[in-house]
Amino acid sequence: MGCKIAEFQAAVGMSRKWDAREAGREVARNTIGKLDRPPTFVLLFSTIHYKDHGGFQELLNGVWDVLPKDTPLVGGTVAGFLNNYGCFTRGAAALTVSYPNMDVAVGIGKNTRKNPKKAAEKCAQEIIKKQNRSFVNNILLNMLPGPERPSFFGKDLPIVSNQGLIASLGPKYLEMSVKYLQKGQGLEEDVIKYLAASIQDYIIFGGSSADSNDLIANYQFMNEEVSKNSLVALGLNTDLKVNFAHSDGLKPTGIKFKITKKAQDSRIIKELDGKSAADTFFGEIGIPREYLDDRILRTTFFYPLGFKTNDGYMCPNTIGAVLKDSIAFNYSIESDEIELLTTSGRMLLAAVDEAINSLQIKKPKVGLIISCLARLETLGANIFKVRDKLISYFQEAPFLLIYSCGENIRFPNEESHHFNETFNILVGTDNSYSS
Amino acid sequence: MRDDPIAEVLDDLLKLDDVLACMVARCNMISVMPDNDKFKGDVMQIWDIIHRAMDDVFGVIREYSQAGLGEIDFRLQDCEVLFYVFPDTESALVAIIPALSNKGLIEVEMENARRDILRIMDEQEKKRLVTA
Repeated sequence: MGCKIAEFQAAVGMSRKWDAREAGREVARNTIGKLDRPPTFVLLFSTIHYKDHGGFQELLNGVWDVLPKDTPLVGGTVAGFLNNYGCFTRGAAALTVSYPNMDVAVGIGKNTRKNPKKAAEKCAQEIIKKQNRSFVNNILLNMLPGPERPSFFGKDLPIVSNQGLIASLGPKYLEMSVKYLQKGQGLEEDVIKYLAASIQDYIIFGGSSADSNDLIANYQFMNEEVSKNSLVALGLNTDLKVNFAHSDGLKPTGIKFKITKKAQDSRIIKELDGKSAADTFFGEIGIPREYLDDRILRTTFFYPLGFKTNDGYMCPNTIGAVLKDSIAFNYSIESDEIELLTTSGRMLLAAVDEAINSLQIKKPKVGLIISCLARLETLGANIFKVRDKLISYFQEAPFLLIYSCGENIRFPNEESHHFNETFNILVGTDNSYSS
Repeated sequence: MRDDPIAEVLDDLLKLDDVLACMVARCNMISVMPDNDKFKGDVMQIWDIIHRAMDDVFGVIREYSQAGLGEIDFRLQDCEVLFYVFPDTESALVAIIPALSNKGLIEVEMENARRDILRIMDEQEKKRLVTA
């Protein structure tokens, strides 16, 4: 699918081939082949399957067999994607733009878990140094590492541990694993906070890389390089008109808890209202502890815990693991009070309408949507209905939705935010647009 | 079988780690199935009981397919069996997955496989009508 009007061109493409090299060639050909001119940049995403079918370096090698040298490229692994062609939880997808009124620079900051500040500042500095700022809008698209389950004596840390050594030592082990082994939560909220502080006048829009919701491994791509534990970003300076919308489809229940004991910079909650956090939470949603197993996420995705930020956002936070009395979350809870939220399939779908209807650009030329894999896991095949809504809005214009393990946004000179379970849409149009 | 496009769709589905077995089937009959040496895990050990349970489910599919029955699934021991019904027929795409798998993601590829198989069946039917 391509959109060729005046000077602005955009396209999406994809591959369903199993072999990484062949998939890389096909996705690149299918994407840039729709342009009349060389691409200004390419965003590349793939599901985790290429790890066992040639590897991600081969995927990138295949892409670069086709892409013009020095084309700025960023991306990473995702749980799934949807675009003008369909919905998929296996394959590779890309989005490209070719536009003369656009200056692009890429940056990378490594070892985000070891030192989020250093990684974010380095990435920002690379972009600032390389970017000319002759146009009015600045956008920073980013991909950063999502959570990965640590190993505990050679086995992946289970999502639920009610007793035993893992349950008792889990919270402390998780803390040490993130710091020293770079396994565990992604510390994305810290990375984005430092990134936002380093590059004040950019719209920041991005997601956390993911696998197929096994939380074992995820990867980031920048140019010819495959990374782990890296923040990769693409800075755009452009006169394109852009518009953004955010929604979640989550409803506050009015059931609130006071966090009375926590750990790991508020990423682990040990006590709610003076009692075991796990007992309190699961008691409230009516699940006996003895029924919990690794399918827990199929239920708890419908019951995230949320906190309100100073600027009015509700930050939903999904459970990462249950370690005896403690609940480990994917990112820190910046409040001493949290509220039980709830949702349903219907509400998750309605959130798509809410976001689309709030957009001021009614005829976009290109769109990138970053949405949480929790929504993919809960909606399942109903994401085809999400695609139907997006097709109605975008019509023939190319769009790409990626399912990530966390979503981040920041408007210039405002606070940054990292979320779970949200739906975030960024659309662009050129100056031929009139409302 | 090698040249059967439906078998190719099933082979593709079977390459997913969490799909232990898959087939196109109807009551008392498996229409298309990959070689069962490609099936994974312990599924062959409980194949007999799964097969019997499948036949009972196909009884329900036969009753309600015309009324718009789209999908059914059940859990048996450590597996889940997913049925994606071909509309207005008594047949379904069937997949066996581990009970702890990320079912939402698998559902998307099941839906893709169903759509691909329906397209193939449609093309085969059109060819048949043309040559008749």
